[in-house]
Amino acid sequence: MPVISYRKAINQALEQEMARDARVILMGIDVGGGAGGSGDVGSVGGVMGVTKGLYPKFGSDRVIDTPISESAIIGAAAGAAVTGMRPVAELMFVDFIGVCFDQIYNQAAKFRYMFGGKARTPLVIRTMGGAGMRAGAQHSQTLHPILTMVPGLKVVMPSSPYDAKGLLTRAIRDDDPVVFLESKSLYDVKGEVPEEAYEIPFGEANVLRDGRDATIVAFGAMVPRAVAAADLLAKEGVKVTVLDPRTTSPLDEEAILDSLDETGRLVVVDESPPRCSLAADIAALAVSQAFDALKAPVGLVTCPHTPVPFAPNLEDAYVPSVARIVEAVKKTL
Amino acid sequence: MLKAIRMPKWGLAMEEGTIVEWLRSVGDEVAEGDDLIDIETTKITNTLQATNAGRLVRIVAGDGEVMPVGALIGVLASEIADEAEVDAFIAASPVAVVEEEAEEEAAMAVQSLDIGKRINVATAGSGKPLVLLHGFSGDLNNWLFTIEGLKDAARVIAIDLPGHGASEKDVGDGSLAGLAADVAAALEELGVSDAVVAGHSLGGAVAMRLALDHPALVSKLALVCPAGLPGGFVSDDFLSGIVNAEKARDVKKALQLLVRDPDTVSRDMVDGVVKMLRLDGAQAALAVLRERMLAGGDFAALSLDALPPVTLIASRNDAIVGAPDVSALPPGWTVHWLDQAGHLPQLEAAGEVNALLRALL
Amino acid sequence: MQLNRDELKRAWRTMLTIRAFEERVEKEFADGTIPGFAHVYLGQEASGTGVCFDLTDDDQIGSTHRGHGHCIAKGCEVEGMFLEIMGKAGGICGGKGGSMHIADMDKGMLGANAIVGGSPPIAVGAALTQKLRRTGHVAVAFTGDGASNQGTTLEAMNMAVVLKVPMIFVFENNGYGEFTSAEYSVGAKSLSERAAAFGMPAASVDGGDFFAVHAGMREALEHVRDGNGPYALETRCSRFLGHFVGDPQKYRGSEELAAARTNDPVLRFRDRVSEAALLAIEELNAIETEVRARVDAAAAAARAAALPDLATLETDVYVKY
Repeated sequence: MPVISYRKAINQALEQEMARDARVILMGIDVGGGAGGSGDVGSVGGVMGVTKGLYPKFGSDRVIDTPISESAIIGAAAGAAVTGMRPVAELMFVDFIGVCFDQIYNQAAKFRYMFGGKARTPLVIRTMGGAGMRAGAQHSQTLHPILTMVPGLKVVMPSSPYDAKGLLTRAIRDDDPVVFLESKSLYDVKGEVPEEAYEIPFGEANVLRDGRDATIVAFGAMVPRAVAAADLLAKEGVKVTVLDPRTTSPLDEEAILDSLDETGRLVVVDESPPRCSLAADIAALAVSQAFDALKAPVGLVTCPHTPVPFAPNLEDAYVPSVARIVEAVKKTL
Repeated sequence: MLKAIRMPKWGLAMEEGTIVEWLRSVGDEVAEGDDLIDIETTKITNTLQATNAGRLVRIVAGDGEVMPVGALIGVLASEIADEAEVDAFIAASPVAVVEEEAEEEAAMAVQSLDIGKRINVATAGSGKPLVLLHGFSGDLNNWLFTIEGLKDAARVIAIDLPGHGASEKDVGDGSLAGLAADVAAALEELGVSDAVVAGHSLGGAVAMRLALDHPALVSKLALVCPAGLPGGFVSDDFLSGIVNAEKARDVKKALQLLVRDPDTVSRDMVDGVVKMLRLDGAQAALAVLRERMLAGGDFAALSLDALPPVTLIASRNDAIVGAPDVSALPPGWTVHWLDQAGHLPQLEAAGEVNALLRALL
Repeated sequence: MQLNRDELKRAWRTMLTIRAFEERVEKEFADGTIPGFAHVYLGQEASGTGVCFDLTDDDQIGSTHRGHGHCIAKGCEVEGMFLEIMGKAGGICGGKGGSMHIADMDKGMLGANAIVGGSPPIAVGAALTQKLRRTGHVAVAFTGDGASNQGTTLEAMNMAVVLKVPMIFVFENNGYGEFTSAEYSVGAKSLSERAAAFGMPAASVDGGDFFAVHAGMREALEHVRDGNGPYALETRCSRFLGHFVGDPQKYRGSEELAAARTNDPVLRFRDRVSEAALLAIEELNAIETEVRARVDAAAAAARAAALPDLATLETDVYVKY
């Protein structure tokens, strides 16, 4: 099976779905590669190069470079979606959600309910989040908790190249608005990805390690760290299950509760500040649904309640580390 | 003379194994082929057999230890050896032998054939061709231990049937004749004829059809828990379980029907099948095959009397195709009954199956 | 652009339906049968009617919080609208939308929108669909003087020009964004001039005159359908009532309030077509009687209708979750 990067896996999903369905269009800042200059359009493909190669292949009608106008980008994508296209809008950094959030949570996410089930909004918003690029407070956040709490949205956090391709394919074919949160720190991670198109269903957790001593739930870029922690613990004889829910909405509550039933110990790793985080959400799930199964307090490994700092040592300390995950698991034992 | 027992490499993806249990103790006399250790890989748990006779003089890696492929895990002695000799042998032994393994690995090649549709094939070794055809919802990885075990004695060719693995998800009308024609085209593309063809389950029925429709390609048949024999059946619990599976846990439930001990179905084994089923068109292709099998007509049309020499490997605990009525089979078939496996003996009892196949080469 | 008798009747019927509907809404609101807020379109009937007159069900509009008139002009049924506004089962949105969220995809009505400036970006997307599919159809964003100051509207105008989509920005300038006058809140001298600065042709018409709006819209449609990109049309309207039904409008002087009613688009239309003998006054009256009867019956039926089944509370959030 070919081994490709997370970035290439996303690109491949976009390319295959665009080839398969003429309704799929891309729009966003520089997704084509910089329209209107005197050089070649298509020589890049988004600031991270994720959409590279698609403009030359599909042209300016399907790979649409837009002004830096996030409200108009997301709103137009929502409008195109509700009238029959299947747009994939790129929001670049998720931090920019502030300047277009109305179009996401008040418009796209609510069309179907407000209009009594008559609207279909097959919109995908691709955006990237997470720390690690020394990009400072306005280019390093995650923000999935804010999106997860919005009814009408689906929120995806792919943690590997294989998942990125299958989940994005699913997102594009989905009839509801989906926010696809890519992890900047994973773009160069490589893994086995089938050449053929495939879908990974939403709401089904991936089990990356099996163990009966504790359960770690982690999202996005925290998944490889949780796996590394599990492998370190295994060397000390502690066998933990690692669950990656893949989507925060819908959330595979069943998988989490089933695993908790077996292990009785839960650690949630969430790259976001602690209050109203997915960590807090899943802890609440455990306490409200599986109190009797719990043998120890739920461990929450999150960022501090601060913006993302710039200085490398501060930023490194901000993000949950393998060591902190190991420590949190040990505390539950 | 001291001999190293090393962590085996079962399949391309295996990097390490867990020693589940030593089946022999230090001091035991061991014959070649004796079961030595149960080893768990991410794919499946299998038993390592002794490749030499001797006395087990040292267990280097004990139960529960995880060791990389090629690592020294025990020592056998063919004559009396003292402790100091064993210590010296261990000290002198490389920690892990991987280079040799890497070469062997290179000997297994996976390629994609274009026969008007894409057919994925793995080949290893040289010599007389041994063609391996997997069953419904399987893929060439079902023959992992067979490929590794027999590549020293044959040119092993494992094929992903249409609709399966990395082959195209076009099964046409789902008939045995159609599947056999695709296999024949792939073999012709590879320049293979006069092969020993081993088919498992649905692949067994395809192998029979292949022998009937393309006799020059097949010299001998080995049918491993084949579908389509008199007295057998096809479990729709399994077929529909796969065709209608939505989540990994559905797939796991279906796969557990295949084996004698449900615990042998590992997360990786489920993952592999789940990943295949997610491919566009895979479940639809399997649905076509299921309907065709349930209709039964293709099986009835297999003229058992017209087949080349057949070795039948059947399992007494087969929940998927049942136990064939041996009295209804043509005379001359060699029949081996397995007691320790379910429907996946090439994985569950790899040593036994490999020995039977080796005898045909 | 002379309209024939049937077309004139259609325009009259639409304007009167809006008038009768909104008057009934006012009454029902006073009676307490309409929960929440109601923003009526009284005084602006000619604008919505003129803008939508030449649109088909395949052309799309995005609307505002003051959207009843746009709905009616785009073809939504008053029966379903009353049910919706009263939060009843069978409402056009199943009672889940309410006055500010009426939508009817089959009619090209992409939704009233309770967020000021919410619709323009969405309409750009609808126009993008039309452009990419080469349908020859258009999208219209209704906005007002209030929304003209929203970033979303300004972004949408630029985006529409850049992507060259078949779209018309209609600025219904009724002089007030909630309680604050456009004189105060709009920095530019005129909405149409500001729109023109984005790089699209723009015109300003008397929004109380159906014929002026219709003529302005014809020009806009011609420009847009020819693939020239967007167009902006300001319709200068008069808001008879306050921001919402029951607004005492203390922020408007009594003279201004009295003057607001003098530019009554319904009366102006009636006088113009009857004086020019295009339609007989009897014909106009007959339509009015029929329209009012239908609206009254729709309201009465909606009052008597059942509330939505509680089981629908959690449906329709997703197509599939």
